[in-house]
Amino acid sequence: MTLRVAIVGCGKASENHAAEIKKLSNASLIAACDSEPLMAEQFCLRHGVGASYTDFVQLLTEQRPDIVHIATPPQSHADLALTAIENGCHVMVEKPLAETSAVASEVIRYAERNGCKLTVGWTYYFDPVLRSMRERVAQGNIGDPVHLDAFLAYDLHGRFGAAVLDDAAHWVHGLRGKLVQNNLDHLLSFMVDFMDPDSAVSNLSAWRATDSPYPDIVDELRLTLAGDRISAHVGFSCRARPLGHFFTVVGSKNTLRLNLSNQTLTEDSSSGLPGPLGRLACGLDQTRQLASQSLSNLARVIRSDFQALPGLGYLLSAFYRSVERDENVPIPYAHILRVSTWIDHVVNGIYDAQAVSQ
Amino acid sequence: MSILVTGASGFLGSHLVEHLSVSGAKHVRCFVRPSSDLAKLNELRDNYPSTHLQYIVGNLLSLPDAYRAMEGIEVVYHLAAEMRGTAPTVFANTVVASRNILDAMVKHGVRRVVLVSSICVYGVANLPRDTAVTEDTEVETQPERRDAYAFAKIQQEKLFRQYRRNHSFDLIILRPGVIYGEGRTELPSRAGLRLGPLVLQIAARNRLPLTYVKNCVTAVAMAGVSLPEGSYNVVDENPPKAAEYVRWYRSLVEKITPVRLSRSSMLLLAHIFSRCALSKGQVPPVLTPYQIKSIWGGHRFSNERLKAAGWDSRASTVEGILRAFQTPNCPAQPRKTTQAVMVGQPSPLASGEN
Repeated sequence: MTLRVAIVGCGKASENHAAEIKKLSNASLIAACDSEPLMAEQFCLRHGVGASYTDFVQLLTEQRPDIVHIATPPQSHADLALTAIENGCHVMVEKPLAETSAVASEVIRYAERNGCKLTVGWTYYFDPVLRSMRERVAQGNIGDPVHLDAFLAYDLHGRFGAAVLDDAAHWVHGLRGKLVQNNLDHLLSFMVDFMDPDSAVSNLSAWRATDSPYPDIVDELRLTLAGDRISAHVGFSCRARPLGHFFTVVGSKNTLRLNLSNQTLTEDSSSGLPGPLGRLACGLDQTRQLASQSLSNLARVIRSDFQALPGLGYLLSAFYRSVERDENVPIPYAHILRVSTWIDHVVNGIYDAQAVSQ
Repeated sequence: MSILVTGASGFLGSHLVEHLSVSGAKHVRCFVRPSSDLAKLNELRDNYPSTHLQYIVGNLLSLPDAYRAMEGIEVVYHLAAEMRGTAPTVFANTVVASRNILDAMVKHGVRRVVLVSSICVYGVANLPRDTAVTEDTEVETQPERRDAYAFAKIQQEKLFRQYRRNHSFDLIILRPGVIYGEGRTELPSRAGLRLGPLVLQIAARNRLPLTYVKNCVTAVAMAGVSLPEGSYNVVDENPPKAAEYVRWYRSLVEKITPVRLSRSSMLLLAHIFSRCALSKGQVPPVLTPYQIKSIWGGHRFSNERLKAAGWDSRASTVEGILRAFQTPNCPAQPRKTTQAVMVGQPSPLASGEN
């Protein structure tokens, strides 16, 4: 069976989706839709897609896709997802699933009621190094996790950031939490497997530090998530360099350090040797691990498995399989809702702080 | 005459505004983005007080911004285009922005528009080496096989021609080659691909279709006033070989290590690359066999039509390169040729190309 796949929203995000969909043997990208006809047409022409639409409902009724990818700005995610579900489609929605957790919950409940599956574009959640990290934690290599640390160094003048700065009407400005809200999934989704379900956001600091012409864009964020057994720190910065995406799990025995940008995962452990010998041995062990990771990554290059977003392909493949076999979706809905709730807290915290400062 | 220049703060745009100011233009409206660096335009405003430079800050993806920019305008110089970024970004900022410009022009009854396009719009991949590419050469019929910039420029021209058929304004399309000059000394990709400290030179004997910025703005300004409707290649006389250009660059601008690779070797690698599907998205699909044949095919770009219309290169290529490299050291004169021999299309791999 070949799954009929359509995509709505033909901007930057759609490129990654299209590239991964085209690699799957059990799927065919049959139609694309964008409210801007030129964007829909260019997408179809470049990706060899047969049907271009500006009316989403028309696409759904004429093409009857099995799966719809929603790669539009977040403000339209919920409505489009509900429409797709209403038409019997399974949906893959770019992050964030919705502007608030209440709306995200409504969409998920509607999908469940209608027997449709849903997933969210957590591009890094299934990144190979993150999967490997989870396995090692599950195997007990580091003992019990006691603290997590996730950090994203973001380029405000990069491909996406520059578009936001250049366009006062860019959809990011319309999000209540602006740039931060659009990026928090990339950090908080790492936490969701480890944190206690009732962990809450605390110690939120958010401020504007760079030369953005938009004073309401927060470009530095630090926050703590506190649970009974484990704590987490999250950092988002437009000034930190080099650009990168990092995650650390501190355990009761050892610590795992993940660099998503370089696709490396290393473990800090005690050598058991005394004094300088121990310190030397730890450094050598780090060198050995990084050398081993580099060789392993070279093998991935040769196997054509070293793309910029390797987790997205895994996510799509797993989601499509769940549709075909009617299995569980790859990202539990409870995880999506928990992250959505945390984002609510952060966005409300930023908003309230700004209201107070004004 | 009321003039609008889009992309006014860019490399070509600021040179055009300077040219118009020197030529005595009374009012020049400059469309700039919120993040544009206005230093050069501010300097021109100070230096040429008799020209009223007006800034419209906005984004051409916004139709109201385009309308606002077009009020009372008679001639539009449309230079704004996106040269970097993902394919949708390049397309939106080039083609969707152009559609808004065209709609605004129609609404406000603009009588003449100069579109600065590129020689990359030609479909030359299957033309033999040394073929002279004139304005009558067919425009690319398989734009999806080209890079994001070429794709967008091809679609942009198509859109302009479509509007021209349905509305009454004069359309002059200019197709410059690699624009270089003072303030832009980056190595163009057709001269060499940067790989860290190395520069990969493909087809080093091909001649570069260079366009010195001051020669280019002369053509652009002419197009706004007197050129008959149609399309025109804008390339300099006697362009140097890629190897010569790299040698001068190496001696005057930056120490680089060139590594030569013949076009056929590169084609072989590209074929292997695409056959094995080795990349699967690991590397952007820029170096495809079709792209290589388009960019490094050894074609010549004719400027005869523009010359026949009265355009003359103000500066020779050597003068231009020397001024661009801004150094008193004078390289050896390039070998004289009787005709311009030029190569290929721009690629997004390197900056400095139109």
